[in-house]
Amino acid sequence: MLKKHISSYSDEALMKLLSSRRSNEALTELHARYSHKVLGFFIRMFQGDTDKAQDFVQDLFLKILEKHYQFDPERKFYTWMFTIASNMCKTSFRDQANVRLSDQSYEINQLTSWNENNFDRDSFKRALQGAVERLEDHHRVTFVLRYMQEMSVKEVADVVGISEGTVKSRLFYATRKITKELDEFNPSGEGIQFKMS
Amino acid sequence: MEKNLNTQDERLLQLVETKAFDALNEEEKAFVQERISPEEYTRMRTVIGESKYIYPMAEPKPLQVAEKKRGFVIPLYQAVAGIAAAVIISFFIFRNESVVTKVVEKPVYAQADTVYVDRVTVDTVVEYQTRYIESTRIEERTTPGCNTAQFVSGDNDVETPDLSGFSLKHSGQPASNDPTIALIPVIGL
Repeated sequence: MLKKHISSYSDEALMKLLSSRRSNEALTELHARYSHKVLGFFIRMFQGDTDKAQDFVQDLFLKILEKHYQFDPERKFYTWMFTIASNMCKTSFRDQANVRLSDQSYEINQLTSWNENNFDRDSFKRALQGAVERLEDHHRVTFVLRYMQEMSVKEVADVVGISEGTVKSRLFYATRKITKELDEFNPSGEGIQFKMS
Repeated sequence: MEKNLNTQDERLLQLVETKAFDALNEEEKAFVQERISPEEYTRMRTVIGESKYIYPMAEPKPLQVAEKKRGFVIPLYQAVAGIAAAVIISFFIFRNESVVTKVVEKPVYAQADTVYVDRVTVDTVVEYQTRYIESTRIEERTTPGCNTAQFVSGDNDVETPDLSGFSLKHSGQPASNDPTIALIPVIGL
């Protein structure tokens, strides 16, 4: 009987393997599948602090190994993992003074408008970064999960533990607030193409 | 408690997430422009689209998981070999052992306050003397059916019982039921 390759297991099946002798193998496979996304989430939540984000990724997967028995097979592993990640961020914010990098001075030197030929994207990105970091934590995590991690509204609601209506409310508020902070940027057209799920 | 969006704002958010302003139909454009300007609509879409790129991404480090300490576990074949080796070694070590006994030539006397002697000395002297019977006296005995006088009187005319009719075969009966018991003078019943 051929042994099924570990890469063909579903996430939920790998979670079951975590309580067996193949636990390290299963955890390594889960890490291979999701470490990029989780690292991106932590980088965005910790305002670009890559080293801290790397440490949190390691801690996250160790927590998954320790608490695998708490995983509800009815849930998707993906959202359960991000729930743990989100809670780790909350704990980190609570435990330390949240020195927002955006409090450091940056200057928007001029009113920037861009079109396809003159798209000052870097300035806009810097300003956007500051505006995102100034959001309150519960708005920021919702904004990051939805627009940066590209999760659906339902998935965001599942991760954060709120209703879909509350997710939409927070997203609308966050987006409007950021947009108002960047009203000196007056794009005449869209410099990028994007698609929302 | 956070309020949910009203349906108008929810629809506006849905349009911002999915369509560029120029891609809106007339009704949708009119709907949007009742609430925000086209520039703000476009800026909102740019905020959403560009937010993914505001931080440089990195490659995750390899996962480091400590090996589980599962206690002292050895393969079965090693355990069996170890036990066999222990048995073999103990066989050679303990095979020549024997109980050493030492024959003591001298008797060992226990020191006690009880003395055992081979010859018991007593102060009673038994002297055997020859005596002759001068006379005898007959006493009537209570043994039923037993008249000893007829045997010791010296009268040779002793009527002896006729034994021909007696069955000397053992009948399994007690001696008291046996009439021949009368012939035995010394037995008292």
